[in-house]
Amino acid sequence: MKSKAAWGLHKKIIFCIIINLVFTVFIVQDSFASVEITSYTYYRYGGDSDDYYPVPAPCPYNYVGSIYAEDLNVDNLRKLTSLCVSDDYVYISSGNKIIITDHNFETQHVIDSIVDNNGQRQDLTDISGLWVTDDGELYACEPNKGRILQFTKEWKLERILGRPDGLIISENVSYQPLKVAVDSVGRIYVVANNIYEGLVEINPDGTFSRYFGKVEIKYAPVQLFWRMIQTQAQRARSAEWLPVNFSNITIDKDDFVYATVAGSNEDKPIRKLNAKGNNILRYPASTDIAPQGDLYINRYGLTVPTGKSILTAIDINDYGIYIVLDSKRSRVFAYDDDGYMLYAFGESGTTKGRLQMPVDVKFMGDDKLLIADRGNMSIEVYELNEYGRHIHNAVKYQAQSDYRAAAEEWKKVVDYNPSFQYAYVGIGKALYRDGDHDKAQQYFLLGQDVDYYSKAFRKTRQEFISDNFSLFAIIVVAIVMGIAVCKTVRYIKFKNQVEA
Amino acid sequence: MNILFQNLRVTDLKEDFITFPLYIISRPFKGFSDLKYENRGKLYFAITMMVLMCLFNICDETYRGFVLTGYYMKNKIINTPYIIVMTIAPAILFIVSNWCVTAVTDGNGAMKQILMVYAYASYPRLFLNIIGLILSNLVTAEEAAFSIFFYSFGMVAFLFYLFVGLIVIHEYSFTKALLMVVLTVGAMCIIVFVLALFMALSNEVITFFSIVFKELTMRL
Repeated sequence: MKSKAAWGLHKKIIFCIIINLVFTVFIVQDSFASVEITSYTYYRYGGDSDDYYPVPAPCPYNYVGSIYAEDLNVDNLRKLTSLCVSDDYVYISSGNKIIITDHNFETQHVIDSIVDNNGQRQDLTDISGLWVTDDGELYACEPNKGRILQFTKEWKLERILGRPDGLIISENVSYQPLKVAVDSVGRIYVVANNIYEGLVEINPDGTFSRYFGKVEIKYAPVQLFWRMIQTQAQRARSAEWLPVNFSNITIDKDDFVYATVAGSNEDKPIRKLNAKGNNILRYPASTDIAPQGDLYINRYGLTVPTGKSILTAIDINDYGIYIVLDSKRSRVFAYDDDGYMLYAFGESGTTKGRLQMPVDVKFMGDDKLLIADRGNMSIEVYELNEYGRHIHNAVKYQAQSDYRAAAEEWKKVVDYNPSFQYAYVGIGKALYRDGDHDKAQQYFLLGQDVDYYSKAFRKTRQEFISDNFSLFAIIVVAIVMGIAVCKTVRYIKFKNQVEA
Repeated sequence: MNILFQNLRVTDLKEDFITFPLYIISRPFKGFSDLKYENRGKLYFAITMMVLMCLFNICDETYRGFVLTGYYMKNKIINTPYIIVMTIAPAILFIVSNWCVTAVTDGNGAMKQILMVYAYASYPRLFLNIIGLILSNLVTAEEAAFSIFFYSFGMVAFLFYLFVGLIVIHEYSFTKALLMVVLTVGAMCIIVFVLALFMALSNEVITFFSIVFKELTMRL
């Protein structure tokens, strides 16, 4: 009897353990599922500019964790505005503080006050933009006081850049720098509030150089018509037409300025500005659609906001992948140097890995991505996974013109995501270079790239004609001879008739 | 049945489908007046042309080259009824509105003649479009203009022959014919508007009656 009871007890324990195991498995799976981030690529299904459909794709990033204020030993991150990453440190601006941490988010230093030229201590006001040069010098925008602060490598104040000498704006407009970027020779580019002439370019010595990269005014023909028939007095009283200003800037390793425009009806919201200030961003000529975030927009959305993406942050890595942040729908888009979309991921929400009010995005090292989320008061950390690594490697090899290695990476990408069109183009390029034009043509067709398809098709057409040249020649000769024979026969008949 | 066979025996397919349409292409004014006064135009030719145009538009949607369309799908879905309606409906709309306009502006053409003019005018377009379709599969992106040229040339030729044909069958002067074109376009817009209105309103009426019917069945 006793042993039976003991066996019953054993049974119960075993049962409990099994149940526990099952539950833990479920719970573990569940916790994995909650961190899953939606991701997609676009698939073209028609000839028009809006015939794109988002196809679910594996997410290129895994969620690693969120860094909150307590992890950084500061009061709060309520006024998180921007991020900056150097080789050794991460710089975070939050309200009147600049927090400097290493790549593991161990706080190294906090700047919350400066000692000005007169030896007086000043508390910082809200900091809105940060930039770190390759030498480790830190620039910070302080819009309320209309100045940019420059710090040395040891985070000591080096100089205060106030309103630059020679800046041509009317006196009652205050100069409020919002974002800053500095190129390798020390020219400072500033996005300033209420300045619509473009970016403010400041010489290394702090004097005003010029306005740089204007954003054009957008207006409808109807507006222009009404404006035309207005009198001078009416025109003076009506609202001024002002372009949307740049929202954020960054500089790549070749000193090109990348800027985003947060306009709602902007066709080219991402600009790559050359020395003249013209937009030279590349985008696929075959589709003629510039990188602009979402291409498929829900027009009557209830839960997801409608309208075009509003891009508010941009960052670029060493091999030309640039990443932009759509603050409207809390999504991140990545493009390669040629303007092809590589992935889009992220969505708004309060669960782990989702974003509430993202304000800035930055690459950290080669495999991490940081997103500053003001709504969540945290820095979200993502890590490139296998799939994302293959994409990045493929783009890297393409940037180095190693198309064969890139094709191997693209093949792995296709294994993960067969609906990723650009991968097929990548494989096709390698085949085309190896002279396998027929197969390359098929891959370009799958990738829906008209230009490369045409190139391959021209070759296959040439090969077809030269292979079958004798056949064509025989057909032509046969036709000519046939006509000749017919005519002679008719002529002979006619002659016979005449003679008869 | 006997009459049908007799008719079939006397129809000269070569004359109706090759000689006369080509004659119209080469001498449009003389050709269209032959159509009107000497009964050389045939109604069955017009209907056959409509069918051929529907067929061509389906083929166009299916087989147009990737270089021109810019997108590729392995199993493309073609909405055949939609294409057929979109080929025939504009023709009917044009014919009806042109007839309406010309009936009140001293036009002498009958509706049957307008239909035939439409069909004979689309004869050159059909062949030019077929050439364009074949070329679209043989050209690269730089040469795509060759293919597009045939499509647009077909459209221009169609409009030209349509205009000439309408002048001839309605016996209009050039300026009056231009006015007629403008009025026809206006009439087409009005017809479309009225149709849309009718559909919207009839939808509400149908919903109303269906609700009444539902209500009744629930109470019974």
